[in-house]
Amino acid sequence: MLRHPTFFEDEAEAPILLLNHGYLTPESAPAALARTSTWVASSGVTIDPNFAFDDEAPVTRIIERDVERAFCGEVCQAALTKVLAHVGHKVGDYGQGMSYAAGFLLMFLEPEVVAQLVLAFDQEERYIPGYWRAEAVKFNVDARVLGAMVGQFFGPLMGNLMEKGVLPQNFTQKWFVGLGIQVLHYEALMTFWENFLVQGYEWLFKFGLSMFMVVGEPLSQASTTAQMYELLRLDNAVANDDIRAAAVQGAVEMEVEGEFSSTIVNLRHHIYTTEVKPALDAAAAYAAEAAAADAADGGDSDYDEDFVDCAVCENNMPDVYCKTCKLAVCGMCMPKLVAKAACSPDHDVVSENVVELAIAAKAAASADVDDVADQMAGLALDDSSAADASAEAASAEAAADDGAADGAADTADGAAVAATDAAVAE
Amino acid sequence: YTVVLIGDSAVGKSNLLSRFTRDEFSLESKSTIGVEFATRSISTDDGKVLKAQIWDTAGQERYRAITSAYYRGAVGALLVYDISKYETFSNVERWLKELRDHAENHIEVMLVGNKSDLRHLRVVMTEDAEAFAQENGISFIETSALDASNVEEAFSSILTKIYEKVSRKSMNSDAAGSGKTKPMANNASKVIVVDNENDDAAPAKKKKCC
Repeated sequence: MLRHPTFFEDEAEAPILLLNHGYLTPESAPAALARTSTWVASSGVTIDPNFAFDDEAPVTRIIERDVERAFCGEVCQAALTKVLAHVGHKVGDYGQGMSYAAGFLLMFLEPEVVAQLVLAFDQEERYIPGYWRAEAVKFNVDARVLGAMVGQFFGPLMGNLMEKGVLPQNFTQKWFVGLGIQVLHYEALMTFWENFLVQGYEWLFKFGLSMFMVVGEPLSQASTTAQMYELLRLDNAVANDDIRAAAVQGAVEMEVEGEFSSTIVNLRHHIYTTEVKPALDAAAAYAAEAAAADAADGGDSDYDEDFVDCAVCENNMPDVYCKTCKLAVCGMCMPKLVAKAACSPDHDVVSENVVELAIAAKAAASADVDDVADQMAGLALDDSSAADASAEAASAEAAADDGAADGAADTADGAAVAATDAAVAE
Repeated sequence: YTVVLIGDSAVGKSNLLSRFTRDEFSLESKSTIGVEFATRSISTDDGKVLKAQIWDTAGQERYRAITSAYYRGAVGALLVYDISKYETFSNVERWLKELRDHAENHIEVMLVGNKSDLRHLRVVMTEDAEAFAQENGISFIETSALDASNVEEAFSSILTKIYEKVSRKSMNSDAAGSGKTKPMANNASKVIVVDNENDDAAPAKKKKCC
C-alpha cells in the first residue's frame, strides 16, 4: 500500500500509524519496501501464487469497525477488509489483534501474501495459533507462562504486580496478540517483526522478558496500578523511543539456552493443566448449573424470544441451522464446529428459517436441560438471583428469597481484593 | 473504587474513558487490545473525594473463567451500547449475564447508550433501554463522548451510587445478614473513601453545567 500514490495523504491520521514517529515517509518508502521484500522468504511460510480470496467470506460488524480503526483511506480499508474477512472465515473466529497485524503487513506486501502470512501465524505451531480468538485460551496460557518466567527471573516483582491487578493475561495482550503495534514506534517495530517472522512465539517470550529488563526497575518502584500499566505499554508519559528501542534490542541480544522452546512447551502444559483447565471446567460447570437453575425457574427467563445468536461465538447472527446437532451457527463458526468434529458435513444443515428453527430448539431445550445446558448456557439469561445462589451456596437462601440481583454473598476472592484495595487507598 | 467499562466492540468505551479522564475525544481512535486503565477523582455533594480506577476493556473479548480478572474487585460497571447499532443493544443482556457470572454480586451497573449525538441514526429507542434497565434493576443514561453530554454525569452518578451504597452499608452494618437489607459486602474494608487526596489522579473537576 506504501506504493499507492495517495497513501501518505490518505493515511496521515491512520490509527495504525500512531507510532510511526516519522519512520515511514514518501522519501523512506522505497527503502522500507526493499527491507520488507525479504520478509516472506525469511519467514519460511509457503505462499501459493494461485491464491484467490474467498469472495463469500462474510464481513462481520467487528471487522468493519476494526478496519475503520486501522486505516482512514478507502484503498487501504478495502484491502484490509478483504484480508480479514478471508482469514476470519478460514479460521472460523476473529481476534482484534489480527486487524493490526494484517494492516501492518499490508503496507508493505500484497493482500494475497498478507492473507496467507496471517493465516500461517494462526495455523503454524511455531507462530501463535489460537491467539486470535474471542476466547483465546492458548494466548491466556502463554501469558501465564511468561508471568511464570518473570516470576523466576525477577524475584517478587511479578507477585507485586498481580497483587495490584496487573496480570500477565492483561498486559501481554499488546505484545503477544497485538504484536507490538500499539507499543513500539515503527523503527523498533520493524525489527520486532523481522524477528517474529523468523522465530515465532519464541521471539515474543524474549521480548516479554526484555521488557521486564527495561522497565523492571521503575516497575518495582511504581506504587499504583495506573503507573504499572503505563510502564508496561510504554506509554509516552513514562517512555520514549529510546526505551522502546532498548526493549527490542534487549530481545535481539538475549541469549537463551538451547532448551528455550521446550521450556516454554513444558510450562504451557503445566500451566494449562494446573491453572487454565480447572478454570475452564469450573466455568462450564457453572454455566450448566446456571442454565439448570434458570430452567428450574419455570423457563420464563426474560431473554428475547425472537433473537438468537450463533451458538458458538454468541456474537453473530446464525446463518445456518444443523437439524442433526440442533444448533444455529454463523458462517464463521460452522467450519470450526466441523473441525472439532462436533458437526459433520453429512448432517442435515439448512440455511432457511434458521432463527425459527433455533427458537423451536430452544423451547424444546428447556424441557430437556441436561442435554443441551452446556451449549445453550450463553443464550439463557437468568432473571433472578437463582443462578448466583446456586454458585454461592453459603448465602443461597437469603439471595433466592429476595429474588434480587445482589445477593449477600461475598467471595474469598473479593476479600483478597478488598485487602488490596485498602492497600491502594493507603 | 474500581469501575469497568464493558460492552460490544466500537460502541465508544475508550472515548468515554478519555472524555472523562482527560476531556479528550478522537474520531480516529484505535481498537483496544487488552486493557486500558485510567484514574480520576470526583467530589461528592458532601465534600468527599471519590477516587475512581477505571478499566477499559476490549469489546470483543467475552471473558469467561480464564480472563474474568477484569471484573475482579470492580464495584461498578458501565455497560455501554451504541444507540445507532441495534446489535450492540441486543448484546447487553449477555454482558449483564457475564457480569453476574464473574463480577461480585453487589456490583453497581449502569446501562449507557452512547453516541447520542447521532440522532438521525438512532435505532435504539430511549424508552426501550429505560424499560430494560428498570426490569433488570440497573440505572440508565444516554451519553455522547463526542459532544461530552452526560459523560461527567454518567461517571459521577455511578460513583455516587457506589458511595451511597457503601455508606448505607456501613451505617446498617448491624442489620447485615437480615436478608432484606442486602448488604453489599461482608467485608467493610472494601469501603474506600479517599479524603481530599489527589496523588496520581487528575484534579477533581466541577460538574459541568448544562
